[in-house]
Amino acid sequence: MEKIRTAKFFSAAILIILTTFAIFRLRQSDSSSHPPSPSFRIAGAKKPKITIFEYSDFACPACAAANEKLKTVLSAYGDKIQINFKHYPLIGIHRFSLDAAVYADCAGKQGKFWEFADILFENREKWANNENFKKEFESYAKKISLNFPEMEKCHADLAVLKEVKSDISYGELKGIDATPTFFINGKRAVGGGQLINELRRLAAKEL
Amino acid sequence: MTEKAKNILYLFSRLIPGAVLLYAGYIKLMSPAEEFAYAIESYKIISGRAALYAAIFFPWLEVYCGILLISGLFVKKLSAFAAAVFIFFELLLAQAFLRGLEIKDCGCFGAAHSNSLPVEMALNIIWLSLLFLSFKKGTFFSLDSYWENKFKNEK
Repeated sequence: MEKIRTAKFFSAAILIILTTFAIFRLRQSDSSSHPPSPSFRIAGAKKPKITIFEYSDFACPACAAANEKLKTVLSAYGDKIQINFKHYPLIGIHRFSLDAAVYADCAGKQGKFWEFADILFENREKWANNENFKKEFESYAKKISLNFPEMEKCHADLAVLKEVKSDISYGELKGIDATPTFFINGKRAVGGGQLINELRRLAAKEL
Repeated sequence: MTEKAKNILYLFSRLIPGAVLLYAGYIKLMSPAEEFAYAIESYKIISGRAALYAAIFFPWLEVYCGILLISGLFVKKLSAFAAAVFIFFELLLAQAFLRGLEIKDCGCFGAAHSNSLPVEMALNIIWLSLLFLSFKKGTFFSLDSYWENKFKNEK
């Protein structure tokens, strides 16, 4: 009787350990799914051969550089490649990145996410550590004819913040520790260099 | 019904709820806990940190319970425990239904797959019925019976 119970407990312990290990491995695996971004944060092909999930921070210089590379890639292969932008503001380093992400989504709700994102990347040094970042954002909004009071209302909406935080949580789940991090057809690439290398490799196969 | 057919029925009475629990837990664990925490908050029973802790704890409980049920270890105890878990879910759903809470995502299978409250409540009753059978006679093709036969033969 004692032997049977021991055998059962031992089997249960092994199963629990193996399951835990398998789940942690799967959570970290690059091929596990990313939820699609809101439509205003998706650019490129509707039925893509290559899907890129881009985890980025508007205040990060490497992200700005990669953004330029991505624009070039999109202009050449926009009918075959799709980009899903994901917010991953490094709040510990860039104080106002989270606000920038929320404002960008608010611009997205007015149909100008990508335009606002470009301005945020270009002017990151002006707002990233500037207490008056809202004034900066207001001037950017004016530049591309966005309704800033509407953006302010949207910025206060917890649902929009929740959407951004959900991206951050997914990024953490994937173990992202640097921006920009890309998942190109499920394969991880960190920084613009790896992005281009991986795209070249895939382009030879898929495009 | 032949003995073999009965055994297969009992086997599935254990495998199906086990697979449901395993899948439900797995789907949640593949998403950030915050996502499930938002779903828990919508039931308006707990919120904030408590919802987050529940969102971290419950998926693991479902996965372990599911995998042990499928493997057929401690079948009686786990069938009873799984039934208690489903009864708890049923009560949660029922109170939300009765209070007329607007629940867009029941959270049962993560954010991606969500059923309406009545559908989920009906499904829970099916799982509970199966677990009742499993509790009664769910040891066919189980690790419980494997170990019991192995040590019985040794005697």
